[in-house]
Amino acid sequence: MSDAETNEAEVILETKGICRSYFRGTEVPVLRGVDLEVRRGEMVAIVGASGCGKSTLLHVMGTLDVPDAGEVWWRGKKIDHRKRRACDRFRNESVGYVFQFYHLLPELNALENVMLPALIRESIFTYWTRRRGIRKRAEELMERVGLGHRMDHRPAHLSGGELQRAAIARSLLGDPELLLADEPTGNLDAETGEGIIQLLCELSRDENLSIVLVTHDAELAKRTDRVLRLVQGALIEEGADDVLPVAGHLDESPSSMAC
Amino acid sequence: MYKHLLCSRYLTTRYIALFSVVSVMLGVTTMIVVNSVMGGFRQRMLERLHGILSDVIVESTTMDGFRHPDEIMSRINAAVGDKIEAMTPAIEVFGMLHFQNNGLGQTFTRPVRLVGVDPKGRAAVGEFGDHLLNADNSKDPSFELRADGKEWREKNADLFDPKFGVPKAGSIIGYQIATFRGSNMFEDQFLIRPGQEVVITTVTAGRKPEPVSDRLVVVDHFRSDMSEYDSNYVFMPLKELQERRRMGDAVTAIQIKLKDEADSPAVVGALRAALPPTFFHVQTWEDKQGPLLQAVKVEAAILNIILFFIIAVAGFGILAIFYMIVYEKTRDIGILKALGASNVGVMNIFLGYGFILGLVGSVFGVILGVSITLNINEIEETIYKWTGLELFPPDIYYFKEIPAQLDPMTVVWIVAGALFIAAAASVLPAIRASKLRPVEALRYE
Repeated sequence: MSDAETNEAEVILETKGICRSYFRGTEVPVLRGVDLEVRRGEMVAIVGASGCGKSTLLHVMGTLDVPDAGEVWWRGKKIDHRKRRACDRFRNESVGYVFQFYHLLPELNALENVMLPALIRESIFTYWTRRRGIRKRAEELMERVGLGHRMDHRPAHLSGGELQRAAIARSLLGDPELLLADEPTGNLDAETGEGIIQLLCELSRDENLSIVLVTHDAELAKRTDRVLRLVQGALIEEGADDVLPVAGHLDESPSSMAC
Repeated sequence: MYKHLLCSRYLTTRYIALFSVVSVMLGVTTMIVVNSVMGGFRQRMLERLHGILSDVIVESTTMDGFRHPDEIMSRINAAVGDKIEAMTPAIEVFGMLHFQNNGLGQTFTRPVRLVGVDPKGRAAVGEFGDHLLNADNSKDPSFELRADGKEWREKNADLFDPKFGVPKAGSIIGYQIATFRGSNMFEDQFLIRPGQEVVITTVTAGRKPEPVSDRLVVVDHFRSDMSEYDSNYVFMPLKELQERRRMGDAVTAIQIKLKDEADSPAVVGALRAALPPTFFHVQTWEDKQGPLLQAVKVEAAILNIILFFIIAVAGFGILAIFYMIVYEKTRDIGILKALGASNVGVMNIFLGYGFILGLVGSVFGVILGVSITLNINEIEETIYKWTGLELFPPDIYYFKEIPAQLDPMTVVWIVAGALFIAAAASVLPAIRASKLRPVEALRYE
């Protein structure tokens, strides 16, 4: 996505002054008034040192965590983190999650894991009437991520790359507009990670999907539309050149030392 | 939908939870078997007591009895005649029984209850005939000496003094009075057989009771399989006992069989109004055996409470295993919540899982319990053959076989209780799972 296109696209998610602290013997502020806009079809990378609050910000954006102060807006409507049902529905229908450790349920096979958001959404009765459509969509996504031949396999029988591809397919089942990815290549070797990066880029480009990803992977960050560095609890937008690591790792860039 | 899918998957993949299934199954099985055996005992005992006692009993408040029983029976007929099928007078008094066993060369003297009856009348109001060992007497109860008794007397004629002749009156002796079984014996040994003679001693009726004795010939044995009766009762003809006790036509009881047993309370009420309570005590057979029946009922209730703790223990097993599973599944719970599962939905997974474990355990428990109950005597026999251990000695329990009776409603209650406990045991772990914060759950490794 070009800069011009990015600026013209509609803002789908916005955070205003997000603050979040943790109590670790004493109050430790992690996010100190984070403002962020994510536009339709945009791919944003959030980088920063370990423990600086990247994942926390992602969790607040996806309503998994509740901010101490600040607001999250979705398509012009403020999200109330205290309304559990609305947040559950938001996570199920509007957002897709991808985690560093894949997080597939070991009791279900790959296809069932991909179908899981729909299984959560549908009651036993509505599922019965829509089961063919759900299954067909899940199979399409499995094919899309290159796992058409591994549908019946349990997670224990899949490689790391396959697990992450299945997790991405799962996150896409509800046709979300926003994908939140927490270090999606963090647990993969370089070659497998490259495959995942390519897949995410294709999805953003082809499906016009917004992706916010937290990463330490310079290669991945380099290929996003924007890179934001979390420093002392606030986001700083960086130019593409700035994020290129000195020794291949983003945490080693000078600005990360301040976090 | 995910709740059902995960419940079924946990059931087939979490093998540790199968221990809960086994404990529920064993609890349900034990409760079904014990309840069936106790229910069988109770039912058999009720049938026996009912058969011996008849539906309603009008008793004299004194051992001297009441005179003119025909007139009393007319008054009973006038009050509730339309509900009566049969009735018969009887005398029941304490006495002593004395006899000699020639084989052992020993004499026996025992306290007994002497019952004077009209055998046909007694058979009409209860199951008197069914409890007599001689087949002829079972069909047509009588105090006449039958073929077996006559034969025995002919063979052992030298034991009797011919000048005394055959005693005029016959008697039917309780089976336990007439037999014994040694510790290494497999069959009962008869101390006294039909054809032999006994001496009974009782007291006369009237102001000053005086002891009276007479010889009687044993004509049969009475076996109800109720120890209380078989070890105490000696039956003799009503008229003979009236004569010995110098009672005239007096009797101590009138036994009544009703057309419909359900009318018993109404009949008792009507007769209490019709007969003066100073002389007559009217009660149903259940009233008469009230303390015994109540004791059995209380015993069954207490046993059920104790046995229910077995299932409660299984419940604690489910609780412990579920806590472990929730702990183990913390990250999965986080994933489910991240994908939009509600707290209630997550809670329902574990509640449903507990319920299914209880259901599966109960189904297997019912199958096993019913199978054991239906084949309990064969199982007892097999154990006896293999180990020599007699689980159900007839001389103690006094039934030839274990009288198990399966009550479907009892099974339903046991299953309902097991399901309730299984579901209740999973409540705490389910609440804990639902309260897990997704962020912390996902961070859990």
